[in-house]
Amino acid sequence: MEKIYCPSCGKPNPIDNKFCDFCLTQFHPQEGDSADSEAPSVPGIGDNQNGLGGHESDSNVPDWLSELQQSNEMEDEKPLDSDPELGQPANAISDWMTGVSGDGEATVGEVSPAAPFLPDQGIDESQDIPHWLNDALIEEEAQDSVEDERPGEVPLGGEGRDVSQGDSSPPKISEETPGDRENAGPLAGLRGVLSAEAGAARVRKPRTYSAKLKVSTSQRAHIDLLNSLLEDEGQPQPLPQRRSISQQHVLRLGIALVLLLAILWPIVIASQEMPFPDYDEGSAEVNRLISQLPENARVLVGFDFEPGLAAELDTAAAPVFDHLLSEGALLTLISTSPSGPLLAERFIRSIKPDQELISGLEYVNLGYIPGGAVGLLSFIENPQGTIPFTIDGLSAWETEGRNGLPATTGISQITDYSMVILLVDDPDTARTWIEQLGPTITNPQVLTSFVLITSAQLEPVVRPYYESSPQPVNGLVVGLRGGAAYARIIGSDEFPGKFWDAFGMGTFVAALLILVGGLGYYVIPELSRTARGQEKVKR
Amino acid sequence: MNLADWIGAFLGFVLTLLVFSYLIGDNPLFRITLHMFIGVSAGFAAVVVIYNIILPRLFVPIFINNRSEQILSLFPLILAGLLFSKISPRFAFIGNLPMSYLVGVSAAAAIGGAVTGTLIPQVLASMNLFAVQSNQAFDANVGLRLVNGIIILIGTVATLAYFQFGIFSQANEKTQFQTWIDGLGQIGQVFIALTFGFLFAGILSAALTALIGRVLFLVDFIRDLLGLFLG
Repeated sequence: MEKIYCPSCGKPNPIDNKFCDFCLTQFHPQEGDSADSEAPSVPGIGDNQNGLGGHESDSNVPDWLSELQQSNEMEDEKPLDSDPELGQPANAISDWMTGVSGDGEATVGEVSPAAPFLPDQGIDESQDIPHWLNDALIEEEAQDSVEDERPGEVPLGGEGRDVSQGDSSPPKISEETPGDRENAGPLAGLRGVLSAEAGAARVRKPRTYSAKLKVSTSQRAHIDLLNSLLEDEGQPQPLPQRRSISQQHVLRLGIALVLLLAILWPIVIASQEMPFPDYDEGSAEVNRLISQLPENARVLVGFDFEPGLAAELDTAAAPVFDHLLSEGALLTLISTSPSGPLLAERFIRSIKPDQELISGLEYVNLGYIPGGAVGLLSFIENPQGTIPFTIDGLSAWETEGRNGLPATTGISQITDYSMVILLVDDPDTARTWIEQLGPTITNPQVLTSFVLITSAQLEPVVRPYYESSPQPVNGLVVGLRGGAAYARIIGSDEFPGKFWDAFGMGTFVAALLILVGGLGYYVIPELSRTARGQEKVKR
Repeated sequence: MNLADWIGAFLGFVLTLLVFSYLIGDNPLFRITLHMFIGVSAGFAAVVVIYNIILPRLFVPIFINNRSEQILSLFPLILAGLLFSKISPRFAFIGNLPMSYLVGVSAAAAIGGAVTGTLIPQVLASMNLFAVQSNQAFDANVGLRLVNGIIILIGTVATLAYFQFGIFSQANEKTQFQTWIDGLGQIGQVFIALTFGFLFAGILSAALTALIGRVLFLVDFIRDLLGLFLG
């Protein structure tokens, strides 16, 4: 069943309704009455009659139009009271309208509304209508019939037609129905009055779109793939069988075995064939600085490394501390790492296993400085205020009326120490120490020297500080090689030769493995590619 | 070695072997050792912090020192207490005060140290390499220092050029400047590769030393054990 939509509330109504069932708005006959819309009219005629439209000069009006005008004028001369739609006499027009004049000669007050062109009246076939108008009427009817098949679209008469045909084309035909006449309000009886509703506000049935999705073949393939993936996700999958011995396992075990054998061989046979490094500039500089220390010099030692690298740092630092203690230095131990104090105690006890150093007398362990860079900066600026007690709970510093521990006697600021030694394995920690202590050390009036004993992995980070000028780092012992060089300089037997042998052999085998592995990485795929090519040629 | 040393050495021997078991792949024994190490480290750190920091530095001054120092000691206690409000989302804003203080002070120390301890001294040191006349006074080998300075200069500029990510001025057409930068970037790549190689060598050396230390420990323990039983 066809429906009409109310222009006011937008709700559907049966097409036969004159009023909206919901808001009682009166429907415009032109929109609802399909019979009316079938009645064509000639544009300009009505306009001329009501005096509001454009009025062409008589010279431009063709004969057929003049005849039509005359016939319409005759109809217009009928009294208004005979018009059943208006229901009021012509003299009943309001006074405000009497003064209104159109473009034509007749005023509104003078011209009574013409009888509407009712559809049932049709077009008088007997009239002499030119053949083009007849064709146009037929075409209009055909169009109306097509538009009727699209309910909801309001027939627009002559609108939208091609007007670019020029003067030679027949005049446009627009619909004129009785509904074009205003039937209420001050403009009652006038025809061709523009509707109060904007064209856009007119209710049309929304265009219907196909709900069918257009899917291409490739899209369909992707959808199927996605669906299959989603279905597979829901299905329990058996766990892949882990191979007990894979190629990776074999490779890993093989490398470990080769490396362990290379390390074990010098340790077991204790051959000590690897010579110690001849000369290391950083180690030599540390040796010179320690040799110049005064007797019973106070030395601050920072232990900032993790237990994992204790073997390397303990071994590298052993000859340095052997030399330091032989010079009678008194040590103050400190750390910015929680595990540092324990490692410091362990190291101090391992330097001279036969003659252990006495805590509080030959060394003092101040323990852990919290706060990272801030704590370190605080200690550099005010050691006594930052760490007032030793790790044993004793008062670390001398105060008025109380003697301090021998290792800290005469120390009120960091520059009172003759030397600061840092054992470090972490680049950030090393940089923090250098950045916080460096500006103080590089002051020409300060005689304190700063020495680093570092892991080998730290050398690229700390060497620029050692080689720059001014020098924030005055001496550098790097890893096992630095420790071995220092042991050779001082002629110490503290450095274990088997350790150095194992290190030399291990480094050599590791380098060999890297070389072989690198070559294999490039050669094996090339060989397999060549073999595949030869097989193809044979085929 | 006394009994405690023997127990400690035996535990170290067993734990070292458990860590080495990773050679055959990830296994429960390795994981147990790992968890033990983490637990022991955390426990030890807690003990150190309590006995080395909290008790002597936070609580003892409140009860021992004079009135003014007691009042001063209350401030860190209050700020530390406010940090606990971070546990509750509702009262977390209260902890913003000590947090902002910590972050501000830490950033100031770190940035100040980086500028005055690394940035300015390193820039000055690089510039000093080209001060030929002053170098002549201290170092006879001026030519070598100059070459060193040139290498450092090229390395620095080329490495910076490698990390220069500009856009083309017109549709995918390189400007002359961009071509120069790309060329320098290629040189910078060489310097970066050398640096990585140096770092890798250092890490390998440190790891190898740690391995040697553990192997030495195992060998020494077995020798001591054999000496104990075999006399």
